[in-house]
Amino acid sequence: MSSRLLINRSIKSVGFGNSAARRFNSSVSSLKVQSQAAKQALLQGVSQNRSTTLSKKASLRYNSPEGLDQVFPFAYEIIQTRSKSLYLQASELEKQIAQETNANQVQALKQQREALLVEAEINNPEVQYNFQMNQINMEVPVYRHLAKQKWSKYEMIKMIQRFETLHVIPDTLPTINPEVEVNVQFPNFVNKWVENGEILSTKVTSRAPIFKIQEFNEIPQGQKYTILVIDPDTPDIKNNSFSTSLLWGLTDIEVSLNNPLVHFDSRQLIDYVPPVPEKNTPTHRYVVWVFRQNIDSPPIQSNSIEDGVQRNRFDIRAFVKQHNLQPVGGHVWRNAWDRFTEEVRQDYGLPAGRVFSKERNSVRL
Amino acid sequence: MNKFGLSNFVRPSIFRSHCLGSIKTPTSVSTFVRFARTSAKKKNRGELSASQVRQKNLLSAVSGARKVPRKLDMCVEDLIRHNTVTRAWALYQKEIRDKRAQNLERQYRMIDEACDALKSAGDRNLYNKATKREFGKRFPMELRVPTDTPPKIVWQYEWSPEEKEKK
Repeated sequence: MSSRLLINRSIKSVGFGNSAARRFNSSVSSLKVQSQAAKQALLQGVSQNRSTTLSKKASLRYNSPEGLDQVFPFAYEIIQTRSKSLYLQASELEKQIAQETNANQVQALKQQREALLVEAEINNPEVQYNFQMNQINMEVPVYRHLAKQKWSKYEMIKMIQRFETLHVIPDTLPTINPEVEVNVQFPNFVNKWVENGEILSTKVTSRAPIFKIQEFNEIPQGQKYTILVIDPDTPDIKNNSFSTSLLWGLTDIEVSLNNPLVHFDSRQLIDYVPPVPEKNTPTHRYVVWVFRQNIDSPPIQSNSIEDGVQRNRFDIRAFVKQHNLQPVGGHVWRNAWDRFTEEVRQDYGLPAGRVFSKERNSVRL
Repeated sequence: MNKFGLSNFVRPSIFRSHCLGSIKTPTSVSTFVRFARTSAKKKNRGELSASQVRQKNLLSAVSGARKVPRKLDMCVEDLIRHNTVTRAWALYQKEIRDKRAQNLERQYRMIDEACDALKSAGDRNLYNKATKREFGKRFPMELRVPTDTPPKIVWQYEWSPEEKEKK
């Protein structure tokens, strides 16, 4: 688990917009730099205070850019004044929200207020420093905004690219519009978040993975998630094609902004069966789909997936339609037959694997 | 510019840090010319030997990136401070820009209102006098302000001058 999460636990989540006019750095602890030395170096300059990010040797020969220390106080003043006026606007919106009765209007006003709160703090040097040092609290709008920006500039694009090149979309679901960051880790591969599309050993994937679902918007009360792990590359000899099988199903998952890890005791739709690709079949894709459940829908019954029947020939599109699920994120890893596969089969009491012919038949499998 | 018509943009530090570590850097860089050859006979004291010059020239031809002014290397705190200053400057400029635009908009609105008032005053003479086209004027009121790109609406087909409407 990253150090960020540990730090987040210690920071109490703070309600927003309760007080009236506020400059930044006033009451929210996560908007301040915690270390006093770092704060002094940041706000007064590194020429008087030693930089906490440079080594002792490096700071001896380091010189700040000319004039920066002189001009910074003026810039800081401008940004603080602006922040103050933005907080005033936000508190006015707060009053409007309290009076408003129309639910849609309230939603729109809340979004406006959140945008104002982000704008009020985004230029705060302390916020920028905390974000760089990963000392963030995702309950605070500005950190959520920065985190989403960072994710959507690289990780999100990479994930979509992997989903497209591996044809996860449209082979499993028609398309994806990612809204949450999904990370996968295996207990046999400690402290290594699996990259999208990575080919793993079956030994590594022999135990159930750990998921992280990071939301970037405020999570409504009672929001739950469902995770499905599927293999769309199961050979289907009868039809000379491939079918989808379900490896694992979790439902009624609850995560919070600062605790994105999926709890181990989440309700299971179906037990985890590790990937055991057959020998000489092409590399299998193992796709993790994360869905937002509809708040009003009844919980998914685990007997709707009967073991042995639904695990094979699982129709994910029908399942999603039936339970009114909204796909919000995903992940994909790959496995091929390797020297550990038979061992994993034995551990789980699975039948012996088949060996496919290396020669391609005239009829394509 | 030097006598060969080349500008001296080579940084002296090029030769200090690279493979010519033991060689003393020439104090004046302005004497260095790209691709210039120095014969061994003309060698003076304190100057580089022919082979060293060859190496130097070779390096300067190869490592073009080293001639580019060095990036500002800042520590994390200073980079954030620098960004803060840049943002504050941009915000300050925006404030001025917005104020100016607001002022212009207000002026235009007042002119518009005044013209409307004159139009509805009954006597059209005042209005006609106020909005009379001044031919030969260098900057007439209706002059389109030059822009870098063409307008979104390229031609207003509906518009016609009032004189034509009367006819």
